[in-house]
Amino acid sequence: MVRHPVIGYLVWALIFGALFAWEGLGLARQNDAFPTLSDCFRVIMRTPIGRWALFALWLWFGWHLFVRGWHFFLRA
Amino acid sequence: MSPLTNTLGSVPVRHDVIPLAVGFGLMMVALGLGLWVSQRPDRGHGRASAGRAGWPAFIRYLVGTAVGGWALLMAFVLLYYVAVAGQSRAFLFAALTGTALMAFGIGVPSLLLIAGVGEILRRRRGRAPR
Repeated sequence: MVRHPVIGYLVWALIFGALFAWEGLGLARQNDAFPTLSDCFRVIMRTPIGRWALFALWLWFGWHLFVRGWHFFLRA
Repeated sequence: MSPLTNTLGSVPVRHDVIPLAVGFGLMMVALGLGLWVSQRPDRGHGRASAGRAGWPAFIRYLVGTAVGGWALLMAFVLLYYVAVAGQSRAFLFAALTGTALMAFGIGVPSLLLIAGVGEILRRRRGRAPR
């Protein structure tokens, strides 16, 4: 298994931290100009193309994690 | 060949950067379209639910989304993984069958089941004495 420098993991932690912070701000101040992730997905899902793009992304992600190789979580 | 051409044509760029960039582009186009539709008056009511529009409309909505999304992903796989990144036929077959299994073997039936159970529970709750 490749060993990555800690800074690489810290960057991911920061990105997800910012994501959750922004979502929290959106949830806490619903009437302000801070859309939550649900608001964004609702906007995307208003058009068929948006729904297709989201479904395609879900399929791509799920296929890579769970189907391709069949041993992501069940590796001995 | 210059070092820049070498870098741009390298495997990580073709395999990782281009698919990620296209995925990001698709999301942004979809978000832009949704925003544009939402700002037009009396538009953007494309959602159907089992309760309001009936089961045929809900099934059409669900299957249409699954078929459209799967077709979009297959177009992307064909364009980038096969034509640009030069993946094998085995990869194409695995992508085709694996994502089809997820979409039509797991995704659509599961969502239908969840919607059906939800509808049954809603009806039972509606019939229960208060």
